[in-house]
Amino acid sequence: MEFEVLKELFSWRDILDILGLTLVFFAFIVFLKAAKGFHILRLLVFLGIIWTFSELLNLATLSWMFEKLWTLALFTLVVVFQPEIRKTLANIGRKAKVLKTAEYEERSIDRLVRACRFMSERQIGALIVIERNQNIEDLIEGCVYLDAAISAELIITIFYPTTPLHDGAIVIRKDRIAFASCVLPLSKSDKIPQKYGTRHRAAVGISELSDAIAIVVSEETGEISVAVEGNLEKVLDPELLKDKLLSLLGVKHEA
Amino acid sequence: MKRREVIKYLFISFLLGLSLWLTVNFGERYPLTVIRFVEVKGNYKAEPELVEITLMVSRKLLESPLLERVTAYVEEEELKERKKSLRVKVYTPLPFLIEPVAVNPPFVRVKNE
Repeated sequence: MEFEVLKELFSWRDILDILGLTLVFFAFIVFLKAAKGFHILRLLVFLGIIWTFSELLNLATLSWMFEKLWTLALFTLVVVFQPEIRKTLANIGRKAKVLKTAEYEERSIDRLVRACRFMSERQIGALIVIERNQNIEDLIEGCVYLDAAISAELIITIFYPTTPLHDGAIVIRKDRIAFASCVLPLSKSDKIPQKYGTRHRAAVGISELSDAIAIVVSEETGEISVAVEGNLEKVLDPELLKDKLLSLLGVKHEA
Repeated sequence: MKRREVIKYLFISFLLGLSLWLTVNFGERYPLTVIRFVEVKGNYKAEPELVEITLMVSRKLLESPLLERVTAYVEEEELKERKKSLRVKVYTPLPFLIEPVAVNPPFVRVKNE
């Protein structure tokens, strides 16, 4: 008889229900942690406790206020976490996308690597973004439209100090230099070492929000780094940079 | 995220999920009226024979077969005392989740069959 009662209270559907809720709460906690919104979560828990007490003690005005305010609070949360929500949705879209065949040729990558080597040796700061499947136009600002063929000379000229386009990033799309002088979103990640400046933060920022690859040449040390999926990696040798780009872009070695 | 942290957050999430599930399924109760025969032991018959029982039932049990096990009866002790009208009592299999709040009529007469 007791088993019958228990069966009535908990079925396999209820277990699924609880597991689903657990996953939703877990995703919410992970999201808040990633978005550094734990202090907001603490505030929400505090307000939730007050609301519960006001309901239990039948405090009419306080309960009324919370009932009216919760929709507004939800709206405020959406506004506060707008960048993180955008990033999460972009990630979902990115993962759902089917990878297309490579739209880059090895010789273009060769020219790119040659330019990076030249700038690295002379400590010319550079930021190069290579677009893959995801269009990044809504993430970049203040760009100058170029649509030029990739050449090492052009890239070096763009980044040469005192030239009008040297400040900002260039965007490479489908084997062409699409834009120059672009302002990229900066990463808020605490994983980036202190020694790196805005250029490196911008490289990580664009790689966090899209599937693009960002190459940075440091102005101070001449060091070359590559940012992919929010991770910044130092490249010790330009030849290794070429191999890395070929593999990331799915380009096969030309015979 | 570290494994220990994942386990901690999963545990917190489980507690939150379970609390929400309990609140939604058992926190709120809804009124439900059922009609039952008044059970009397021995060769006696209650008058009226049927009573209306108002129950406060948790959302999850609104369509449960457990409701069929709600019965109305009169105490044997009171029968022995030969009282003219006896209070109708209600049995429920889960007093906290299927809670009787009213019986109409609350008293019945008992006579020999």
